[in-house]
Amino acid sequence: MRIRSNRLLFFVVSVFFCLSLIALSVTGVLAPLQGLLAAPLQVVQSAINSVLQRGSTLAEDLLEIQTLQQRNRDLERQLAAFQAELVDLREIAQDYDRLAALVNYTRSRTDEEYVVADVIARDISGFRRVIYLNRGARDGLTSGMPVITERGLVGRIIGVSATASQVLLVLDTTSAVSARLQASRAEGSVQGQLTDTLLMTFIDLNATVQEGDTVITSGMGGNFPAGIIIGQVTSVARSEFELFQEAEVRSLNNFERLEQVLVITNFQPVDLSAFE
Amino acid sequence: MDGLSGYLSIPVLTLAVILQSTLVPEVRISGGMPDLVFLAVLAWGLLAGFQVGMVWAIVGGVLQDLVSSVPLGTTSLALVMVVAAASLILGQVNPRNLLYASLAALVGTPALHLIVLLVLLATGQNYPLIDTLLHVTLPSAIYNLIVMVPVYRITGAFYATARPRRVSRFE
Repeated sequence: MRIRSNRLLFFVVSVFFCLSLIALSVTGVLAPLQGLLAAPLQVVQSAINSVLQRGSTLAEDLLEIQTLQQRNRDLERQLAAFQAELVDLREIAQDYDRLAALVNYTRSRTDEEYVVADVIARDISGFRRVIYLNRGARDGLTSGMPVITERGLVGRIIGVSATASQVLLVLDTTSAVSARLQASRAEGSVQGQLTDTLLMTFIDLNATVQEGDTVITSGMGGNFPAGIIIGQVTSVARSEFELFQEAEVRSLNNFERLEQVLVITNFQPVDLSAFE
Repeated sequence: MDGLSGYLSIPVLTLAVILQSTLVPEVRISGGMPDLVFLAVLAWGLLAGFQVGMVWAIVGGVLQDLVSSVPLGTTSLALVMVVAAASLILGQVNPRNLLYASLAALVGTPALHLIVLLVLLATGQNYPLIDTLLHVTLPSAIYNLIVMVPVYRITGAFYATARPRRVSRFE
């Protein structure tokens, strides 16, 4: 009974105390005390909020990092795709340039018919200078047809399958092309060298040969049409004790980077074996 | 009532108020959030008894009102009434039962909010009663039901170390 009355008293006092606090607070009497008591709490609140804010910012930054990493991966993928596309476009542009040059060349020689062919392989033996084209008998190619670019003579076809053909380059040591110096009209024979250069031999001792002279096919022998550029003279070797003089010739073609060539299809090599 | 328990209320409830005003709003769902001060006062009141519960209710309410915009004493009054009711009702059965404590938190939350709203209404601050009970009180009550479990455990462990022990006269 006493405990109950104590509790009731305690409760009533507590409620009265609270109501008094409310009344004093509402009237503003407690405002200075409230401010004083609240100040340390607010300092702690502020400090914790600051830490929380930093934590929140850190968490956002971490999330942002993940987003950025994902975005970076996406961009890298896109970049790779664009790079591949760029490579394709550059290839197309280079193909266009080469084909445009070939077309210009063919327009300047309207008497000849051509088939454009891509170089698909090179001889890997190291001592033969042979390339393979993606055109063959189905495209009307036959052995002996000259192969050229807009920069000059490349070689001649020595073997044909249905869909491909084999070209012996002028650089090959077994290749010999009847040639003429364009300026002096002196004739000779251009042969391939193991050093990937050309050597014009059998030039008359009396002929004037100068560095920079253009060497063209002479048409003699019937293996090539006349007037195709072979190269330019880079040096001349003349000796009083020799019957002929020689000249080193540099082709304007870069045989290591040949990609497209023209095959002259309306030229048939002349067969002179009947007169031997 | 032992004096130590009353003094303990100040640091414990200060910590609860600080957590309530800083961390707890981060887990707000709808308008509701757990009321750590209420839960701590209720748990300690159920464990330590009626009179200690009253002291904790007044101290907790005052501390909470210091960092809120309600008139000083409002939360104290609400806590005093809810903790007194819980202590008296559960005192008839088993005040140290976790299930009862959680149910007291669930039922006590609307009572607490209602008293605060009535005081605010009485002091000229009119809040939409139904909306507030629906959007703030209901989620808070569910929150308090759940959070009461760890709070009661922690408070119980703390109370076990802080309460006065019987000392044998032969020691």
